[in-house]
Amino acid sequence: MSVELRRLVTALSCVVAVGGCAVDNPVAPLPQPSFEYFACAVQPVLDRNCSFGGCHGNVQRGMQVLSPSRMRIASEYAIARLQTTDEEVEEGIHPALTNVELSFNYEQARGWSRASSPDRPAPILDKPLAVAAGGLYHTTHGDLFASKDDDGYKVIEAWLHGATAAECP
Amino acid sequence: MAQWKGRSGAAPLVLLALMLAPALVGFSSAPSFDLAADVGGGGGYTFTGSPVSHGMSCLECHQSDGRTPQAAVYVHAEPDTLFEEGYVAGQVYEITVHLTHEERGLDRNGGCTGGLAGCNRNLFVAELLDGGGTSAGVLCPDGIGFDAAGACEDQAGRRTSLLHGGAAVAGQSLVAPLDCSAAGAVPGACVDLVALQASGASQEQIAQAISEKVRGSTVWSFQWRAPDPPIGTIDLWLGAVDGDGGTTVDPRYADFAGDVAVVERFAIAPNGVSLGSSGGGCVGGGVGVGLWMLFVGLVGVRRLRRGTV
Repeated sequence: MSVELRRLVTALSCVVAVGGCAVDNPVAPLPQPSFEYFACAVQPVLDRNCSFGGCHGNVQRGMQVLSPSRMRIASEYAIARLQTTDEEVEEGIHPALTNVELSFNYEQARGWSRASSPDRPAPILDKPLAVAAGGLYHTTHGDLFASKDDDGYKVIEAWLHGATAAECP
Repeated sequence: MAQWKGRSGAAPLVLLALMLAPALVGFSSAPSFDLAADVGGGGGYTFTGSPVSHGMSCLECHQSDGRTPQAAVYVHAEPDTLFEEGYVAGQVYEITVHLTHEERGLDRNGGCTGGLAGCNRNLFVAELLDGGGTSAGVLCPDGIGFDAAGACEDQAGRRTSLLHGGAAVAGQSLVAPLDCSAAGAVPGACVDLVALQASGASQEQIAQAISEKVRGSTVWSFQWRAPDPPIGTIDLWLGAVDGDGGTTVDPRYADFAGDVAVVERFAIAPNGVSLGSSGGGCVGGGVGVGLWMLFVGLVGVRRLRRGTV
């Protein structure tokens, strides 16, 4: 590479770098809704509607959901399995999620809890809401909440609006 | 279990089968559909692909491994005019679902009491819904009667059980062996209880002999009383899984990988309204549909060729 070309590349790099830093696009902090309310109220909604292997119980998804009998963290599952009684096994009851797994789900859900535009709700509400009810297209079987009156929708909405452990069902 | 009645050694065999039952109930047993999702159950969904489950089916969890699926379902009704001529209002039909071309988990038959060693389980679940997604008619497990008011008298039959208060029906994932002296017993697939007792086998040894013959179910029957008066076309939504016997960390629980799921929808018109189906049964999925389409295609090609010569 000639000296002139090298200087040109360096100059362009500086322009791009300085220009990039100058963009006014600060990272917006994520909301911090209640972990306790998430564990008691939101997690069961995710268990029932979102956690299947072909859906969000899958490491290939942007939002991943751990759930009993579905995707787990192996080391945490081993711990949870020790807490499960033989009677529970025989009744088909699966080991509960550990706090580590619940925290994983909480952070995953929190990552989808900020609206990307003022005229739309957070994606965690917008995507599972039926298109006919104003929701965003999700996937073929993604119209999980028929309307905003669906219990699951209301639980997640309450979580995003500050519901706390005191409001656990 | 009627075939065991009045036969030598039948009662002990039934008792032993019942003793084994808790160990055989694990994931994919029919009641797990009704368990809450936060303890690992189905949370009330049927996963037949019907509107009741938002279109979700067995495929939401049971993921194949890329190999071409072979499994299919064949559905037969008695009286056998159900799929050909439509339903007669108030008629009780016995519907039998066959999971054909089972290929997964065959090497894990007999492993169901071995804890984590893997165990071949298959399953089916079905529901009959009207065009609005509401249960149509009355479902009842195999071998259970209808009362005078037309309601099913029990939730659990020999091979099938009702779910969601009768809105759906699911099959047992395992089938226990017959006593070799029972009617219909197949040599090699039955347990010769008389011989075991004569040889002085202990209860544990007899239980082990039974468990080694337990295999994944492939045939399930249930009853359906058609609505009276008729309510238009009714859809039979059906999902079946050819399980591979467990390949994940804890196969007694979370075993979804490597299974084959078949999901079908059969439209049943009221008697006198043709939907163009033929024959006394319906084939869906896998090889059955493929062969049928190949046959239709070949016939079509032959006709085209004849027309151009």
